[in-house]
Amino acid sequence: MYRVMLIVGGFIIMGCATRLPNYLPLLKTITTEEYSDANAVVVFDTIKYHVERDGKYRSYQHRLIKIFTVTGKSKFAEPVFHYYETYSKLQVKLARVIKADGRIVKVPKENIKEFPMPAWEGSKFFLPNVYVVKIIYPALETGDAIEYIVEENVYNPPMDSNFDMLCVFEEDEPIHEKVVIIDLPIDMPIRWKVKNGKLEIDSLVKQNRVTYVFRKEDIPKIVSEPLMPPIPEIALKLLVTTVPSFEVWSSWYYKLASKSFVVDSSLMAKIHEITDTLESLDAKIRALFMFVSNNIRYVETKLTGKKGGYEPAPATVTFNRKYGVCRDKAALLVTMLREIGVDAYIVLCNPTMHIDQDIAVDEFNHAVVAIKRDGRYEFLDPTVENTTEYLLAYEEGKQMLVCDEDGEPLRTIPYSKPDKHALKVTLEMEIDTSCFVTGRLHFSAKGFYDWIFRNMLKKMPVEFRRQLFQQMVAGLGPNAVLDSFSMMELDNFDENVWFTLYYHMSEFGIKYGDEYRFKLGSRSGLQLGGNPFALEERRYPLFMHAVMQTESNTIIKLPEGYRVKHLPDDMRLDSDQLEGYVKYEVVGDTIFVTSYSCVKDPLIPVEVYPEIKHRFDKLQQLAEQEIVLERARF
Amino acid sequence: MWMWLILLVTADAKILLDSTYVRLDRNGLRTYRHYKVEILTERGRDTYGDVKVRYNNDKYEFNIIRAVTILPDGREVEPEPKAIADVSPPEVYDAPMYANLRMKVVTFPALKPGAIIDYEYEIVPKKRPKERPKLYGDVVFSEYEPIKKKVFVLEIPKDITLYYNLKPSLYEDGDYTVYVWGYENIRKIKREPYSPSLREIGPTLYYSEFSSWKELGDWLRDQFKAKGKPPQLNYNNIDELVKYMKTDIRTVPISLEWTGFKPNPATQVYANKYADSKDKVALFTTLVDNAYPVLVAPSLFSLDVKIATPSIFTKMMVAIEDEYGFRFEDLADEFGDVGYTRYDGYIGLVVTAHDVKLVPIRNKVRSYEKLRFSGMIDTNGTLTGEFNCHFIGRTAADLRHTLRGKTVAELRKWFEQRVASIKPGCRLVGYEVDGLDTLLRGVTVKIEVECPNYYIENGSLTIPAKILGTDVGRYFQLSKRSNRLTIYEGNGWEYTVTLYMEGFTPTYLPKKTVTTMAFEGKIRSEVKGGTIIWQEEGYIKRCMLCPCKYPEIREEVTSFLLNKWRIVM
Repeated sequence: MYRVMLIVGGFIIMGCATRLPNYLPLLKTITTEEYSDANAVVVFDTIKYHVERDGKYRSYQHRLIKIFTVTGKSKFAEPVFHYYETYSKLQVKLARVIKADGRIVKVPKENIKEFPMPAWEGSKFFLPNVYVVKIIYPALETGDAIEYIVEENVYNPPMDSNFDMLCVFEEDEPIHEKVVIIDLPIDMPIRWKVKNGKLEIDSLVKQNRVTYVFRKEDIPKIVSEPLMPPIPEIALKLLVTTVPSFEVWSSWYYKLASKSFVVDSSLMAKIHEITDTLESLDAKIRALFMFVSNNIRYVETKLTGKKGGYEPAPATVTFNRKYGVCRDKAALLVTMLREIGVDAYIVLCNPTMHIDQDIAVDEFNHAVVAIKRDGRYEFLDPTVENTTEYLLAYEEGKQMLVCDEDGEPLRTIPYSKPDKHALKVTLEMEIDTSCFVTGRLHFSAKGFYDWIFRNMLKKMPVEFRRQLFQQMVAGLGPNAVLDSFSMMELDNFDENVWFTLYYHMSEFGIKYGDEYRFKLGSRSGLQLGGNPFALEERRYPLFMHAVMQTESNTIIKLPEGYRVKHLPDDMRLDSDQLEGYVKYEVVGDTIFVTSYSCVKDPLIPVEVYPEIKHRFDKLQQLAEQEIVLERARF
Repeated sequence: MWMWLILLVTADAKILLDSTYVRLDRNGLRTYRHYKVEILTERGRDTYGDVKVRYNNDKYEFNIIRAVTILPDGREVEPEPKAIADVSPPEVYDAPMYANLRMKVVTFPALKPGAIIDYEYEIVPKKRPKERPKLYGDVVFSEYEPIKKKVFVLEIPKDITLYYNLKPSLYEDGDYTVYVWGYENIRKIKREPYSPSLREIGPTLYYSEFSSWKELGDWLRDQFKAKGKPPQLNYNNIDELVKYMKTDIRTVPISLEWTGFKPNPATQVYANKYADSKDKVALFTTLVDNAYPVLVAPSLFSLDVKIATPSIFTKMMVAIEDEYGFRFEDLADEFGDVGYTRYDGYIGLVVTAHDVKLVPIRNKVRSYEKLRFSGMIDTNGTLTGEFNCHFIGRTAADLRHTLRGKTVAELRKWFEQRVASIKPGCRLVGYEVDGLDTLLRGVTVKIEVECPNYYIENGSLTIPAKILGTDVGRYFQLSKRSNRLTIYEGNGWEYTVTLYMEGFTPTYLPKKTVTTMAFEGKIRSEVKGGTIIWQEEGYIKRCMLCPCKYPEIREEVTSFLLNKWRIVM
């Protein structure tokens, strides 16, 4: 209690720029000896929320960061903040450099810049009413510290009379102390949850308001690892909400979005044009899905309306202008499906990470569609273009919130079977006695792999296709040359993606005396992410994002007069998460090599990683061994 | 005609008209543009559907005259008001002191194949400028899509003499001269990696009121008077000062195209501790008497542009004159060694106190990689050994960019991933890295590895591939090219492997040599007392290779790369 008063009282004092404490003694205790593995240390990071009954609030963030290295200087010399003027306004209340010798250098006004959110190269977000506020610290050198206080005034909360927030207590530099203070009316019932660790928690009641303090000291930095789960899933975090349940979010969003489910004559005409000649309901659903997916391009323009950024555009508007973002496309599809009698709903979700199910905090960043049949929901994501599946593989295993008038609970959709997302590669090689190879490399893809190839091929300039295929063939050997290729029509969504590459290569393998040796190069020719088992040890689980499988068949016709002297050993790997094998077989003058790999569960826990790594490495080693032929003697 | 049709088939859009009219008068520089694009594919819709135009919001006003989508049936659809946005261009994020730069974005509605974007706008000065702006620029008459017609019109007072490289049609309009350049049916340029810039492929119009490089240089010298007096800054030698400027004055990465050529006062730059390339050069030249600004055109392989236009120079470096000539330093490159720039071989425009010279840029420090692997393979087939690497120049800069600021734990993970690429199962035993912060002697890396099952009996032995450094194969991935292979920066390396294997006798040892316009390489290998000694020397050259010569050179290079790592036992 005493500590709470100290922190809260201290914060009030800190808010007065004219009477700021002298931090030099504190800064002197933050040394490179103690934090030898850091570019900078967050000395303190205090965030206070002052919440009103109607859900409006002000937040104050006060940070002091000591810079150790040139990289730390680059990282922290220009802190950036964003706000969206429909909901809030952000101001910098204090910004200064505390030099190593204690001198203070105030940041002049002209060094605090505010400008509209940039339109990044390739970005489809053009948001003139979303602002960036940037502090440019002058005269900053290693050994100095930067300090700032920023205030955000949220005058239009997304859900009126409610408050929620998520705060991650870890970042990529160590934190000496982090405090979150939430001050709200006593009659606003609040729930909180701390995940992936513990916080010191205190509370104080004073004059019909209650203040909660959440605190942690000595927080180590996050060291990134390849293929680790998203930071909010593994880092210490605090979730706070006054929203009693996900059902409330569900009905809230339904009320907001349902106003958009409107039709006019031209939209009706289109619906009829698309569906009238189709017999089955499944075919109609698919046709409408394909229309929205591929004919409404993804662009976000100025966010307007009281709940801009949440509220979809009316379906008629999205249809007429032929562009929109996820919520617009979802609302359009819901509207079109309802017109043909399908029980369709807009859905909130987050395809990039798992949402905490036991506390109703808004962790949503995407909208899709659900259709209800026989008491069950099927989910469709019309934002995704060039797909044969209603959902992408990495959206499986995630949480979905169907939005209807009465409110629905949060659901988790299961993973499919891996063979739904499958890649099959067939490599044929005919080797002659001069080590010259001709052959073909054939790919066929289903599910997630279909989408990867189809989307990539459709989005690239046509002349890049040949270049891509040449690169794939080069995986067989540096002098492999693509002769020609054939592929299916990419706009035909009734057929899975396939393409065939015809190639030749000279000087394949090494002939020495009576022996002829060669290795099989990368059959996929396309490295989809590199070696996931490169690290010896991991601190975080390995997350492969989706279930999937690949199968590769290699058929090698031997040169005349040669027979097999040595083949690599067969090998198998089987675990709860991964399965794989490589098999070799000789039939007459032909070698057959079959390899298979399957991700059954994309999350590999830390404790099983070493064993799986060891076996995966063994499998890969064997796959890279040589095939040795010898001249046959009769 | 047939070529036009063939290229149309592979096009995502067709630029029907791109017409720009620029008028210079007492009120300043006024631009009008009419831009019409026909969308041919979904990709064209996505690429061309949001038209973005940069302008300076402090000085200019942007007026849209007409913006519509013309549907295939002839109907016109206008964008809604919120589809017209004033946002910041991406470079402002890193250089917010230029927050007056804006980008007008129009998101065109109802797009589908067959629809046409029809867009007319003008950019006019908000008020009469105090000084007439200098007139110069360049216009590229090619694109990655076919162009039906592209026109550039310049209307200027008769008393201004204009210099240009392409012949215009000339007209008179009272006190003004009108210059018109136009091309029709311009074929699309094929996108290929390692191609020249569009500016270089052309046709490109360069125009300027500067009659010569000397006059341009004199003007730049005049602009540089704004740098003022030097700050109080002590240094022991030039190398130390160069290093300080590179690492302690934060680089703001923004092109001269947007900042102009007039620097901020040196004392202000020094106090702020951040600057773009021009301000860094200006600050440096206040401190060192024999240091001068150098203008560089990174998009041009060779500076054979006869027209003195500043628009081709997007980068500024410093030239320090000594008894040997000029020494060039890129103060904006915080990762490159002192004495190294990425522009070795380029021509720079050096503006000294009294003269203006076109000078070939020669680095004091040339790019080079020296790698050595020493190890042994035991009777179980386990490889143990150590890489010792020293990088200077380009690779050192790239390594610093990747590794600087990584902490011990992060470095370890990075090196583990590199080691795993030698062979699955290889593990990192230890590492050391030096030179990430110093910029004075390159970067040195030592990596100790252990690879179980590295050699399996009856197999051939693969020399451990160099896990860091230049990969020559990436330049020769395509089997043939439409554009010249353009390698802007050369690099050399030497890689030596000594590997002890008891009880094994190699029966095949690689030995190759290749010499081409783009690449030279040599591999030697021998066995001495149970130790395999394998050595590769390679040099990738700065060059521009005709597509006609490319297949033959590719074949030689890929033949060199083939089996170079394999030793048969």
